[in-house]
Amino acid sequence: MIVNLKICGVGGQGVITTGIIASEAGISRGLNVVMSEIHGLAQRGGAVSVDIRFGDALGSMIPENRCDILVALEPVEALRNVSRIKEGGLALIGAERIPPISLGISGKEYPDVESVLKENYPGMRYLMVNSDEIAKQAGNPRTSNTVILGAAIATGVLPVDLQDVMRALDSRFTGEMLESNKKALGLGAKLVTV
Amino acid sequence: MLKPENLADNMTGEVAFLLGNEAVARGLVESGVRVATTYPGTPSSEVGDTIARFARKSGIYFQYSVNEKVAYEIAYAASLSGKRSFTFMKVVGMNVAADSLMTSAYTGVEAGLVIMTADDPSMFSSQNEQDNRHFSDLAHIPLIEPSSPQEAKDFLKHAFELSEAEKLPVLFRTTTRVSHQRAPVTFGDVASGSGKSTFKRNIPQYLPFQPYSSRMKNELMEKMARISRFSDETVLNQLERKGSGKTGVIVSGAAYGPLIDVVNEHDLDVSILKLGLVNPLPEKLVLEFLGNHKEVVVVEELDPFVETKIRSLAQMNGITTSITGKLDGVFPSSFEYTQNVIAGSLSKILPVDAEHVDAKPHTEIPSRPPVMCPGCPHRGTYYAVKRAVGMSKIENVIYPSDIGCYSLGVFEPFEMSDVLLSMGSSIGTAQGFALSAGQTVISFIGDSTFFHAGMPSLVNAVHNGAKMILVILDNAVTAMTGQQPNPGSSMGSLGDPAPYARIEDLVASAGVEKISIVDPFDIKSTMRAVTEGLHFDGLSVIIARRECAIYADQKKKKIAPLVPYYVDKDKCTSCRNCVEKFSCPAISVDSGTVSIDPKLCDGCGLCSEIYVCPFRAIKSVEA
Ligand code: SF4
Ligand code: SF4
Repeated sequence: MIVNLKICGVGGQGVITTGIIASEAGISRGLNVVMSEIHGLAQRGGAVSVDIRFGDALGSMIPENRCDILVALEPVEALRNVSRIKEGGLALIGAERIPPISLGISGKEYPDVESVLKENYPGMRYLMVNSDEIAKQAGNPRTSNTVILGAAIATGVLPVDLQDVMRALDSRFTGEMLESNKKALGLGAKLVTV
Repeated sequence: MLKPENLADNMTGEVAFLLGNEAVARGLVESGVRVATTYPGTPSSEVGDTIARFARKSGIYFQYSVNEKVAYEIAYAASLSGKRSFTFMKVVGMNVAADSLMTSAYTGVEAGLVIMTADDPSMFSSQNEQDNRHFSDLAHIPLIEPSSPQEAKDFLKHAFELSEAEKLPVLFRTTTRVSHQRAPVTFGDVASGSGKSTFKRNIPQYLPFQPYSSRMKNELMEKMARISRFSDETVLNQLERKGSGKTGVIVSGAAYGPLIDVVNEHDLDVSILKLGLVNPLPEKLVLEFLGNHKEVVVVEELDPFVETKIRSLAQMNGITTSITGKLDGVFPSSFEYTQNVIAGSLSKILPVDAEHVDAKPHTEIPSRPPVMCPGCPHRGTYYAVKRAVGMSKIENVIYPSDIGCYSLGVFEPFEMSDVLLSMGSSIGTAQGFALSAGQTVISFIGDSTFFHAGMPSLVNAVHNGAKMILVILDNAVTAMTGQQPNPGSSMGSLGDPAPYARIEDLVASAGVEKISIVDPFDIKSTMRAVTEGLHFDGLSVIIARRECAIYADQKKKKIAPLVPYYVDKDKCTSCRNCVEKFSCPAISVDSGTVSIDPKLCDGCGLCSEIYVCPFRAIKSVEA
């Protein structure tokens, strides 16, 4: 069994941290997990993604068109990576936009991501998550990644459950950060009913 | 989650989810290393970031050196003094260290000395994808290649043992997908460092003069011949899988993981010989493997390094087993090997149906090239230089650039980078243009890069009368790799206060007569300095000094939160200058309205300057 999770976003959004939390959830349940990161040239603001593979994989990169579930922390970055999702796969997309400077320079508008998805990937199941809003409800705007992760876990596609992620959060955060992250995870999970 | 500062603790048998580079750092602890040195470079940087966190606690001496050559020399001398030593660098850093490495193979070492190169197939963050395994042939030193974080840690121990047994430096090669892969890693015992630590003078052994040199060369070749026999016995080289005997695969390094994925998925009937000690080749093992199979496939990234050796071994032994690899065009010699690449190549010879997959997006997507951070001082420097040059009406200015965050000035909106080769090359190429092209030359170099390889070039420029402007972007740290200290930083390798070199003094003592020091957040003064330089008949140096935004934030956040700026809708005329010409990633336009994302804004205030917003529409939230 191999389940492939890709997480993408913009440098500074916490793509790698989110990846580690998801991976450690798998490890805590005794699964093999490998994760691949590409750091790129920029410290902040470039496109970032990680590949995570749960199960019997040795290569850390997800083969093309084999991604079971895409977690995109930013809509344009979702577009950049959707083509890697396999037939019948899913995408969870954070709705908050970070327009790349290339748009400002060229004078082009930020694309309407939902209609692009509907037009080019008909039948693909995705969920736009107002993660920033929900993160505020959780008490900390910096937990929006955890909101989306919660939604991803609730789809049941990944071989980890909320308890596993809670354990991973426990070992990483303390105090208010831990509480808000746990809350964010739960609120995110509620967005998805299977 | 295991904190980096605890990575040196005693925890035999425990498992942690580690980055390959963190596993290397742990490997040092398990190998009893006493001295570690580096010049930071992706994809090797996290090794140093990790060691720096536990160095004090574990008693390892750690240093960010000025460049890879110095780093290697320090480790070499520490080894001669009886301390196990380790030096690590990114792929192109080896070119810098090579000068000393080559001769150190002749003299040999005392305590174990391992040099790690983090190669970068597909060039995710390097200017070329040179295959540094060749250095092991060039220097006649053994080469060990791990394929996963676990092996990165475990093989290191073998590398030190081998180095110490044969008194020869060992080359340890990772690639991006090993260094930047995370996987569960099981810990071994913490080793105590070797006790003795003295240097014993031994001129015939350490001084590469004749008649000693010839003897040294003979000894070196004897050592490699011995290691060649050891290569047949070591656990690093293993028959991993036994098939029915038709096809065998010989694999090394990062290609191993994806290869196994493909073999498993397609249920291929193959034997697999996995090489960890790649050079010298385990000749007996390979000959036996060749003899036991009708065809043998060699799977390795980049150059046909192993394949060439195997082919010549087969030829010398009259073996007719068919050998497949890159030289017969089946596998590619460029870029990393993904499962898709391996399956595609194997499909030419084995029952692998490589589905044709097209993972290209179906639609046009706005590009998001790497950018300088919000609040980055370099944005101010580039903006000011571009404006000053524009006002001067001087055309066809040549901009040699260098390695660092400011390399990103090549992208829109600045596009101020014409050539870039290597660390420090901006100053050398600038001199060449100044004397050959008859155009104005403005070159850019960062503080760390200046110390690394720029200083000799500047001395050369002064002495030979080059006419050029050199802009030194001094942001106090080695920023692009994660804010490591350099000799110009007021903190040392472990974050403690340290004495530092003053760039203006170095430049002045090189003989530069025109030096200006400006704050890149003061656009007006920076422009003035550039204008003066443009009219100066000679070499002028502008030091644009302001701390890297991320580094400054790390310090500042402890004291006060960042206060963002905003766009006053009543004053903003949508002229878009801030978006098109200045392009801080925190500023964007949506349906004609310019706004600043308070989550991204660093609060630097540079965009509120009249040179960026002529209508004074950008203001501090606090004011
Ligand atoms: S890391 Fe520092 S120097 Fe590099 S782009 Fe960001 S602010 Fe600028
Ligand atoms: S103040 Fe202006 S230039 Fe500075 S980070 Fe904020 S938006 Fe960017």
